Amino acid sequence: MRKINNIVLIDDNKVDGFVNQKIISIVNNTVTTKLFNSSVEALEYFNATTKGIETHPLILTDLIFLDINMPVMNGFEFLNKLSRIKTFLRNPFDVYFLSSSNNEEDISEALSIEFCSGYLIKPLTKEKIRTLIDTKKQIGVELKTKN
Amino acid sequence: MEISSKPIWYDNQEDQLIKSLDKSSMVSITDPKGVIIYVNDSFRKESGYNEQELLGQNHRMLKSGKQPDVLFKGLWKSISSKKVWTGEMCNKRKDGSFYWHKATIIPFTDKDGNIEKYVAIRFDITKNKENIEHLKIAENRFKLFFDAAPNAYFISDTAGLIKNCNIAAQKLSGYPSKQLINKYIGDSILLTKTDRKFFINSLKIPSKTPQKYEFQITSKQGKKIIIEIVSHQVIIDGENVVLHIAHDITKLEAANTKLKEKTKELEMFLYRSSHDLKSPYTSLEGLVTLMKHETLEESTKELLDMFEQTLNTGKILIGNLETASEILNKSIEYKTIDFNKLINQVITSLKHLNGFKDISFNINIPKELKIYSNPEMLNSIMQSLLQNAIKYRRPNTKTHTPFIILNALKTKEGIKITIKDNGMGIKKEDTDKIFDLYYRSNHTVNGTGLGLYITKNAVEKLNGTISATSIISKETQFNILLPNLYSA
Repeated sequence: MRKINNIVLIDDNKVDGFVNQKIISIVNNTVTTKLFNSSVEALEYFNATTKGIETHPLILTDLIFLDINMPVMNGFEFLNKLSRIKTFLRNPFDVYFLSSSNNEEDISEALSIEFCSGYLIKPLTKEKIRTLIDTKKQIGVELKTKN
Repeated sequence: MEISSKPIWYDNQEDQLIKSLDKSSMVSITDPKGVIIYVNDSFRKESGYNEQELLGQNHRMLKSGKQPDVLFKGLWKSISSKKVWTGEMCNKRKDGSFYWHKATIIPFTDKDGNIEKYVAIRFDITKNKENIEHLKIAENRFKLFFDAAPNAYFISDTAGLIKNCNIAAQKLSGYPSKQLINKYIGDSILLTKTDRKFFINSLKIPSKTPQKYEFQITSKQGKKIIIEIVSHQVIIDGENVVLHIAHDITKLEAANTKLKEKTKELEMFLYRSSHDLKSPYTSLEGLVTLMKHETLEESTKELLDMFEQTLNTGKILIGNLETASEILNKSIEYKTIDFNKLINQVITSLKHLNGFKDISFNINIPKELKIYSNPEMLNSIMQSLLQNAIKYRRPNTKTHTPFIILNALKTKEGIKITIKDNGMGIKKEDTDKIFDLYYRSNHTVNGTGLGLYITKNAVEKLNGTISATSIISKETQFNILLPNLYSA
């Protein structure tokens, strides 16, 4: 499995985004995190054109934590638009939904989406991050029940 | 064989005849003008007058005034032309009260053929008259109720032909009574073709219990109304008839629909609220985790711990609210459940609870017990009951070992599940209330007052029943009966 260096967080809740960024740095302070409080801004960021493909944000990103309930463009719509960016498939990075809902229907709906690597129930804890970064173990959808 | 005939009358047969008549009837004799010349004892007694008061008086003195003059004219016309007259008469007693009798007046003539006297023989028929009078009163009274009733009453034969109906029935149908009698009930209340057919056909099926129907009809004025008809098949005067009681439930139905909408709205509101409230709690949880990584003073740490505990209670409460609203809203799927497996999962999930290790479990479930039900609901029910049994245990001491006995059995009535513990128990007066919303019997143990309410709702969602028996400071047992839908 690849080493995780860059994480992008997309969450309209500023406090959650801030807390999650902090917690990631507590677990591993070598990881770079980038926080967007708006899915629209995040999409603009990924849509950017760069000189070389190596420096494209989509290529640089290793992991995305994506909130579901967001204004204007929710997590599902965001992922759908993201997957249409040309460079998207060049980089098989992970996208985890991050939501406070533990509703079975919400979870299975999220997991049924292509390109979704897993579903995490808020709050993001050190344990949850460790399983993703430190051990570099890919356990994907299994994580949905870990709370 | 010898047939011996005995004479019917011996000597003085006329005397004997008169005596018999005297005993059985009121006898009076008047002269051709109607002046009383003889009265017997029965006559005197009934009239209330004595002989002196009656003799020499015209028979008119007894007239009640209740009967028309035509009657007396006819009477006189008849007897003065020497014909016997028979009829019903009403007389007035000395005390002013009335008595009815059937009278036969026989004219007697002298040898020249002139009327000499009239002999009147009367039988008392006051009782009969009174009975008829009572019947009339009863019938009037019935008619009054019949017509004053707010519901429409139709009486039809088994083919649906209307025999009688009340005022409300006329109002409901919009037709006067004349146009309703001998018409088909389906036509009178303007049922649709299919409803008419269905209704008439169902009347033909004999039934001992009243049948209830609901129809949408168009009134004569063109208004769409919903009516409910209850049809009783009864026997009146030896005839099979059907009594239909109909009433307009349009308003009721509208209110019902509105109520359903409002309830749905409230359920949705509860669902959304519990859902949305979760988010800030989750944010707070994250903040608490972060704060714990800061360098804190001891006193701040203590406060943070208390803060976290409060946060957890709030989270549980919201979680419960969410579960409750989900039970109300969700349509559920049924699956075949391995009950042993389910219980094992539940118990594993409870291992982290305080006191779990102190409990001795005794679980008796037939190895192959399969239940056809909803796994999530059943899981939630078992989890909450077992959790309660652990939470409300009495502490482990030398003389007391807390236990939980779980039994499950397939019976004729369904799957019977019992959970028994030897914990704190519930006060007798509280056992009925423990399933109520926000009822908390125990203030020493934290609770949200939603647990058993949710459990009961979940059991009912699975069409089952739940009850509890308990002895305070000794034991508690929960009994669950789930329908046995699985038959393989």
